[in-house]
Amino acid sequence: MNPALSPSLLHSFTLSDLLPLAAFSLPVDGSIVGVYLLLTMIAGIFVRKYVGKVEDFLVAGREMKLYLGIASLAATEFGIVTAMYTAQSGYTMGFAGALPGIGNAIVMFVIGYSGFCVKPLRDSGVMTIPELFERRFGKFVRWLSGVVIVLGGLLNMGVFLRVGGQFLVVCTGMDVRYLQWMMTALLVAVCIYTILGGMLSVLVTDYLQFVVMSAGLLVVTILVLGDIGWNGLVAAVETHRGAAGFNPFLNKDQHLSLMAGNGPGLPFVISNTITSIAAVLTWQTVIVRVMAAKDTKTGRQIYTRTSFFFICRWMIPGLWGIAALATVAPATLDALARQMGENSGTLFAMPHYLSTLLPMGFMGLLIAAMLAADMSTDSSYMLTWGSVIYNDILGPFRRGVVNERRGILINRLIVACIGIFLLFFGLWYQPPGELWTYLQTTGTIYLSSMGVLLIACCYWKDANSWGAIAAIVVGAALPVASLVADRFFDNAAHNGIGEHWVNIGTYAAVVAAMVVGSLLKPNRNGGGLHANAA
Amino acid sequence: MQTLREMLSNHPLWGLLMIAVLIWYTFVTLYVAVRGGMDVKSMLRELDNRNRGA
Repeated sequence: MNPALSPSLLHSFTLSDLLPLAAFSLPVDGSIVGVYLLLTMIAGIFVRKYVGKVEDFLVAGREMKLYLGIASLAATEFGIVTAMYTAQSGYTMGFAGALPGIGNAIVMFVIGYSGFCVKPLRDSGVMTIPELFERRFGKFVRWLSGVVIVLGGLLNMGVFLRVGGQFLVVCTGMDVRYLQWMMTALLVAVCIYTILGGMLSVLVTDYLQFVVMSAGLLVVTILVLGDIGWNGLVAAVETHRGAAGFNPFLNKDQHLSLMAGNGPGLPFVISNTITSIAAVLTWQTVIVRVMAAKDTKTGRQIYTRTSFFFICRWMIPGLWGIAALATVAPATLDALARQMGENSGTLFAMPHYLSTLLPMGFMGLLIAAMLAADMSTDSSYMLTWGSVIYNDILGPFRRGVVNERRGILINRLIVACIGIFLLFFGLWYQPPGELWTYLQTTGTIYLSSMGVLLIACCYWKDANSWGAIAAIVVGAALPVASLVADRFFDNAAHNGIGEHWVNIGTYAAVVAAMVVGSLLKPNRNGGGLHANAA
Repeated sequence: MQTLREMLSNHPLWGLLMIAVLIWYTFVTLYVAVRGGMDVKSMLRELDNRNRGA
């Protein structure tokens, strides 16, 4: 693409005009991708015969050992959507954009090492966090927790399919008309093995996907370093982002200030640190690895030994984003954004750059790696949100004991329904602003209240159901209000308060609601995790 | 080697972190590829035994 093209001229260009160099070869790259998909499907479907009970379906019979846990956690927490938003952070914030990953790694290591919350959680033998809350706060809090977990989780996951498809289109130069069919086929494949094998299929396919994904990420990173060179990457950040591109505490004006509601700066650091703590403690797809672990020690080891991966998860695609900053003209991104119907083109900088960099063969490896990343994330997310629906939202309405076969059938139907929801939501919903901001805001719907509830449940003897309900309602209401304001009032929350302050304010309000609600309840009946529900 | 030298001299904090990422990730990928495969086998064997016992 010629950077000199004027924006008006770009209106008349099609996507294929913008991606003349995409090197995807159907015989070579298509074969690599095809072999990977075939192996995954075979492995995923093969293990269905080991599913005998609901516990096997939801937490793999609690037989997961350390290294499989590491592979599974790493594969789940890295999808195409992850590569896209971390690369976008690299493009928009330079090296400083990797801060959330560094914070996440430190938090995960400390929590795994100390056992803070995760030890009592795993020791309790529950399958989901709301199940633990029932023991302390009662059935209604369990049900309400299930509702916000699923609401936040599904809204969060709803954009995965769309973003994954956009990556494939931009990177391979595929005709945008095939995007929806591609997304649908991918989702159907994931649904088939997840529905049949549950957590067992998720773990086995996660293992394969971890190996393929990691090989692809490493090879592409070396190619990127060889193409631009370290000095070229540093120069791009210095030129376009200045000192703030290296120091996340500085705002866009290169000052240390609490007023930066968007972009880098102190609020960015504070907001991401809080989110990291809550996510490591309560993000269902992360915490399920602790629940599925063979014992508490293994669960904690999975945390400490996977923690550094969270730096890789931000640094590697972040580096690809910086390489795009060094090479891709802003006019190209504007044109891509228009073609894709998005507000900003920064999301497409990385895939566009890779489409021009990778030769035949390597492109197949990248696509296989990204499909592996995406499929492992989708399958695990569907299963874990499904487990909360079965266990905590529908659970209180079940009368009597459900036999194992019926339980497995219900879980399979729930996963299928989530798949259908994702397909339709993913096709029409377009998140406003930066992708990471949307994911953080939707995640906050439940991270804020669940994080506070879990800490209070484990360590505050005066916490009770009033405080818990108040915290859940406040934690869900504020991010939803922010999303609605952004959607219908021209990004009112984003521009008015700033994304980071919305996030920080929500957590502060949730803590206040928990404390005030608990103290207001008469005849408080606290006394730790195993006290009767108040 | 040229890139490596640049990483150690130009913004070495980020350069060293990037080198650590590449080394750690390569090692973990190879190690987990081997040990994770053994864990999969062991997990399926345990579940098979348990289901037969039931």
